Amino acid sequence: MTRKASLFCALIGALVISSCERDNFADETQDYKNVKVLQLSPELTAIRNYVPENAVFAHRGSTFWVPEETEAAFRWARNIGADYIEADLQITKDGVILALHDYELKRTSDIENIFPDREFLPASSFTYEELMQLDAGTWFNDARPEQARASFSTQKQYISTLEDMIMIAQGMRIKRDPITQERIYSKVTNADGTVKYTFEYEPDPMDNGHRPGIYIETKEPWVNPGIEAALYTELDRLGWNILTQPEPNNNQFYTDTDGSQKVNVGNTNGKVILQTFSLESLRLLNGIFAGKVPTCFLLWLGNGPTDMPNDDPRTYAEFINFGIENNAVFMGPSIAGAPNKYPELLKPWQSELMHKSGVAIHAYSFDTREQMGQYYGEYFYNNTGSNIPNRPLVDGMFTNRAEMTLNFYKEKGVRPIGAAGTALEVLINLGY
Amino acid sequence: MKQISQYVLILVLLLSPVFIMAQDTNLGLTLTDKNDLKISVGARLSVDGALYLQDYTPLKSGASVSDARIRLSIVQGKWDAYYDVDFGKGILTQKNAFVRYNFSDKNSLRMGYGPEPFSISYNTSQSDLHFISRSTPVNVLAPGRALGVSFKHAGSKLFGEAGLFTENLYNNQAAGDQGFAASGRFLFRPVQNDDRSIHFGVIGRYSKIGTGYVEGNPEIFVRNMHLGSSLETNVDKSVHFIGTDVKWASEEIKYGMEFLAVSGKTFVQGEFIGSHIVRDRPDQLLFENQLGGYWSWTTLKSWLNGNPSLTALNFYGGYVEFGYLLKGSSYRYDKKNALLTRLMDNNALELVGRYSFTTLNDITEGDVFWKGQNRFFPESGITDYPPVSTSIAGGIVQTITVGANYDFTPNTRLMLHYTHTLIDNYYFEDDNAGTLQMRLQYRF
Repeated sequence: MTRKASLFCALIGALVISSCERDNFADETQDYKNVKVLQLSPELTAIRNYVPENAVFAHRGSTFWVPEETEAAFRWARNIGADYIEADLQITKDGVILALHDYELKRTSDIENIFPDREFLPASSFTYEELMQLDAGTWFNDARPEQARASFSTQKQYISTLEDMIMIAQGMRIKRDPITQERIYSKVTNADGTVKYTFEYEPDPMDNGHRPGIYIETKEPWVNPGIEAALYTELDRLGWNILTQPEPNNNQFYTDTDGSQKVNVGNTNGKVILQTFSLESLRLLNGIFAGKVPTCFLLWLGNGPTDMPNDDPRTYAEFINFGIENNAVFMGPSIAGAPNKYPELLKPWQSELMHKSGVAIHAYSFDTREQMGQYYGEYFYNNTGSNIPNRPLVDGMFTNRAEMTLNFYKEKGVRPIGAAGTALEVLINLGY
Repeated sequence: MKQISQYVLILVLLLSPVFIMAQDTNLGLTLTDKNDLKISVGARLSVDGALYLQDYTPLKSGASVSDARIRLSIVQGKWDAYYDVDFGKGILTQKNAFVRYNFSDKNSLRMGYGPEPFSISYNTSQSDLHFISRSTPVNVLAPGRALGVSFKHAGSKLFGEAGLFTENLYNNQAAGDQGFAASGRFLFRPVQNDDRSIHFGVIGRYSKIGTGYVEGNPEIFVRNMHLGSSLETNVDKSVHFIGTDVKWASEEIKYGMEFLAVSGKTFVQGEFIGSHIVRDRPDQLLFENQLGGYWSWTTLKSWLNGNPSLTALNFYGGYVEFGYLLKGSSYRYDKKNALLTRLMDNNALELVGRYSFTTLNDITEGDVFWKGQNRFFPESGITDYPPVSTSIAGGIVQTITVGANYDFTPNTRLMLHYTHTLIDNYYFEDDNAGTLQMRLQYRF
C-alpha cells in the first residue's frame, strides 16, 4: 500500500509542477513583449520610406479653420505647408469619386433646403450634378462662429471631388464663371448610360509653391462598392498612380529652388497614401495596388465590424499583423484628449509594439499643442516604472491645426519647414 | 504565485476534520417510524478549498461553502416523498422535490422535480460521488434536474428509467410555450451479486427547446441554449473555459452510453454523451423586419447570402473514472438506482482518478478564426461584412484528476484532489490549468 501511495503522490507532484511552468502576467506593459508581430519586409520598408518621417497630414484640410474637405480647406492646407492633404472618399451614383467624410450630407451642407425629402440619404445616392447644387460652406459659419468668414458663403464651397483635391495639391483651383461664380464643367452621357464629367481648373494665383501629397481614405466596401478599383483608374487618369507613372526616386520631400523651402511630397512616389479602417477594403486595396502604394491601416476601439474589440497586447498584435499581411506600412491609431475624446490606442507599449514590427505610426486626430507634446514624448504620462523607452510615440500626425503641428515639428528640429504663416494670414491671402 | 495566506487557508481546512471526527455516524435522523409512517431528516455540508495554480486565469483561489443541504424524506406504505434545499454559497436553491409510488421493489413511478434519468454521474448524489466535482462532459452535456414524471424498473438483469419532463421549472420562458424533454436510461446488468456488479447500457434524451430571449424591433423571440462549464471546481465557477450559446436552437437529441463495474476494492465508471442540436431560424420574419433601411437587404435571397442557413451542431464528451480502496471493506452498488454509493467504513482511504474529454467545437471546414476580433470568418478570409461563418467554437477541454479520499466515518470525509485541465479554446490562450482542491464533507 505504501508503494502505491508513493506512486500516487509522485503523480500528483509531477502534475502540479508541470502546471506551474508557465508564469504569465496581467501587466500589459510587460505582456506586449511576449506577443509576436510580423516584421515589415525590406520591400515594404522601402515603400514606408516613400513618406517623410514626422509628416503633417492636414485632416480634411482642417476642421478647425475652414469648412472641411472643401476647396477652401484644401487650398489652405496646401498653402500652410502641410505634407499631405487628407480626405475621405465616397462615390456618387454616377461614378464621381468624392472627398467627403459623412455618409449623409446633413451636417456639412444645406441639403435640408435643396433636397428636403432626401436629407437623410447617403451621398452615394446622388449624382454629382445634384451635389453641386449644395452649399458646403455656410454651415461652418453657423457651427463655428469664432472661425466664421463671410467668404465661405459668398465663394460657394462645393462638395469636393478627388480630382479637386489633386488639382489643388498641384497648385490649381476650381475654375469658376466670372459672373455667377459657379464652377465650370461639362457632362457627357455615353451610349451605355455612363456619365463623364469634365471639370475645369486654373492656376491658383495665390499658390505659394508647396506641393503636398494626398492621404485618402476608403470606407467599408458595402458603403461604396467598387470604389477601390475606381480609385485606381482615377489616379491613373490624373497622373497620380505611381504604379503606372512613377516619380523619379531621387525627388526630395522638400525643395529649395527659389531660396525658400517648399513641400515637394506631391512630386515623389509617396504622393498618395491610402488609408482605411475596413478589413475588406484593406484587402481590396492590397489586391489592386499590390502593396506598391503606401497604405495605412486605421485602428478604432469598438464593437463594429471593422473595429478592434479590445486593446490588450494579443488583440493589438493581431491587428498589426493583419495590416502587414495586407501590405500596410503605417498603422493609424486614435489618440485620447479633447476635443474629440477618442479612445486611447497609442499607449507607450502600443507604440513600442507597432515600432517593433517596423511600421510607422500615423495617429489621429491632433487638435492641441498638449496632444502633440504628449505623443511626441515630451512627457510620458503612462510610462512610469516600465522599461518602455521614452521616445516619440508617433511618426506623423493627422491634425486639424496643421499650422500648429508644422511649427511644433520645426521647433523640434525634425522637419525643415514650419507653417507658411499664421492660419489667418494664409486664409486672408487666399481671399477668404 | 498566490498569496501565502491561501496555503494557510488550505492548511486550516486540512486540519479542521480533526475537530469533528467524533460525530454521529448515522445517515439521517428518523423523527418517527410508526403506523406505517417514517419521517426522516438529514443534512449535508461541503466546504471546499481550491488553489488555482496559474495566475493568468482570472480564477480566485479560496474556500467556500459549496453545498449546505437539508432534506426531508417521508415513507408511508407504497408512497414516499423527498424534499431538499440547498443554501450553499448563501443562496437558497430548490433541489429535489418529488413523490414516488412504489408498485413493488422493482417498479416505481416518480412525480416532481429531480434529476432526469440520463447520466449516471448526474444521478449520483454529491454524497456518493467519489470526486469533488462531476466531470466536465457531465457538467456541460447532462441535462440536470427537471419537473416531470418518470417510471423506473430495477430488475436483476435489466434496469430502465424513462420519463417526460418540462424544460424549465417555473414556466418562465420569455415567450411562447414551455419546452419539454423525454429522457431515459436503459441498462443491462450481466453480473450483480454481493461481490461484483457490472452494468452497461444506453442513454437518450429528446428535447423541444422553448427557452430564450426577445430581441430586435419588432421583437422576435430567439430560442437559445447555453452549454458550458467552469473548471471542475465549486469555489470559483465564474469562467467557462468551455462554453457556447447556440442561437436559434429548436431541438436537441442527446445520446450516449454508460458503464459501471464494481468489484471489491475497485470501481470503474464511464460515460459518453453526444448532443445533436437542430437550429431553426425564422428567415422570412428576420428578413422582413430589416426592410426599410437604406442598407437593408432587398430580397430574401440576398439576405440569405449574408445570413447563411444554419446547420445542425454536434458536440460530445466522455469520461472514465476509477477508484481503489487502500483501506476499507469494499465499494457498494446501489441496485435500486444502478449507481455507485458512498463508502460505509470508518477510516477508509481510497485513491481515485479520472480522465475526461469534451468538445463544443463544430467548425465549418475552411473557416478561419481571427483572434483580432475573436470570431470566425469564411474560407474567403477576414472581412467586415457580412459575417457569414456559422462555425461554433465552444472549446475542447481535457481533464485529468487524481485524488485521495479519507472517510473518518461514513458521515465525515476529507477529499484532496488535483485536476489538470488542458484548455483548447479559440477565445482563451491555449493552456494548462492546475487546480488543487480539498473538500471536507459531513452528511447525515
